[in-house]
Amino acid sequence: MWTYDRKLQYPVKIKNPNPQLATIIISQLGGPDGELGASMRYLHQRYSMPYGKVTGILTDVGTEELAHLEMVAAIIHQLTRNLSEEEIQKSPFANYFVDHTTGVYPVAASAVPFDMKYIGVKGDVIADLNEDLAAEQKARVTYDNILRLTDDPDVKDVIRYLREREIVHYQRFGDALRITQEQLDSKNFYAFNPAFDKHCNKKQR
Amino acid sequence: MYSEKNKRPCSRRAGDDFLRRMLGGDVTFGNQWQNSCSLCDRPQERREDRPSCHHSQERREGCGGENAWGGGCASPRNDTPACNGGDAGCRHCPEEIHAPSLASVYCPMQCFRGLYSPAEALSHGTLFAELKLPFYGAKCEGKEACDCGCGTSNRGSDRTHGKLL
Amino acid sequence: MMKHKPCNACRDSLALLRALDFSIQETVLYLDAYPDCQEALAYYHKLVCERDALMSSYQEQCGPLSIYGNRSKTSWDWVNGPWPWEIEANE
Repeated sequence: MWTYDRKLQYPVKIKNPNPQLATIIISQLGGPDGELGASMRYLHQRYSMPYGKVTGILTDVGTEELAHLEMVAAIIHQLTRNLSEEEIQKSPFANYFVDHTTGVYPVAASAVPFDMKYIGVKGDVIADLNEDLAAEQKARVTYDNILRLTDDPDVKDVIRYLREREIVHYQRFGDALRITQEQLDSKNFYAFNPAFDKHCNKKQR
Repeated sequence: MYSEKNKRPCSRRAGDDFLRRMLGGDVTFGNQWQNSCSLCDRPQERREDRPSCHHSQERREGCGGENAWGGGCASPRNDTPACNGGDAGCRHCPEEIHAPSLASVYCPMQCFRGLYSPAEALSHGTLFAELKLPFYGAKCEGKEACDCGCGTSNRGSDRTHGKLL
Repeated sequence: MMKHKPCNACRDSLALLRALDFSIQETVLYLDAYPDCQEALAYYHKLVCERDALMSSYQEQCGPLSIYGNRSKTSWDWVNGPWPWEIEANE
């Protein structure tokens, strides 16, 4: 289960509200490569993993992604505070405002709400870990793109932090894949699915 | 396929260790692959003029077949046919890896080293200096030197350096 | 709901706790992949020891950081702001 830690993993203090920037950054909340998708993906994949180290990595990275989800929500919350109706009317944020006011709703920059179809849980160790490697890279690219689109130093500071986390997670999923390969026949990693064909596992967890 | 003996203390060099385990023996780089036969310790070389080690098939210590990497098969024969040189890897050596398999990706191991202090780690987004890989974008393309004022040349370098995005 | 600005000492302690927790998180992720690494394990214990002491004094003086940390016997401080996503909690 989860205990809530009453602090952000990295501080978010944005001096200047900017509703237009919020409509872009919100993709890391509810978009296809955002933190909600990442946390759901890893936390659901862990149930079928046959190796303790891999389950550990998925649990701990998945939990950290919930913390990142909270940070992105904090960015959106702070970028959309104290706005006048006139400021909202002039900004692309008006389209979001009409349905959500300044609530924080998981949606992409394209206005498509979060969809669980963004995640894969194949129940095969190698397939799931490759999905995770790709997911971290796509998240990193999304952060790269956000960095291109703003000069606000308060925002960039937090985005750089979140981007670096994706790179570290990529290494961890690479470790998880190597750990899996070590348990399998190197002549043919695809001879069986260790998550399902448990009688084929030669080594202990 | 990695045995217990491959566990080493954290002071190992990550890249070398990874390659050593993938290729099943001591590895040196250069014009030849050098694996040591696990039975006779003779170096197994890739060059055509150097025969692979052979072990007596009667004693069933190895099939003697030369695998595609020019190494000798060190595996007991049992009753399966000898590996053929055209194979991508010797199929008779379940405890050794002659070559990385096709159709897969491999991740190098990371050593616990190069740590930032806790305060620095948080500001960098990682505890490990080796994993700090910032984004510069296209800001340094076509420029001779980076424009952040540090004087680093972009020419002839495998590191991009430019304005941090 | 009462919202108060934390004092300087509490802000400094929280900053240190964030840094310790982050280094612990990084070490934990490393240990998940390399559980036999004695150096990482020793570093984990060193950090956790510091973190436990700091967490205890922070919650005593500044307020709860988890539902298990409400030290006051006369008030439920957990519902008092600021909440982590508000700018006052990050200054």
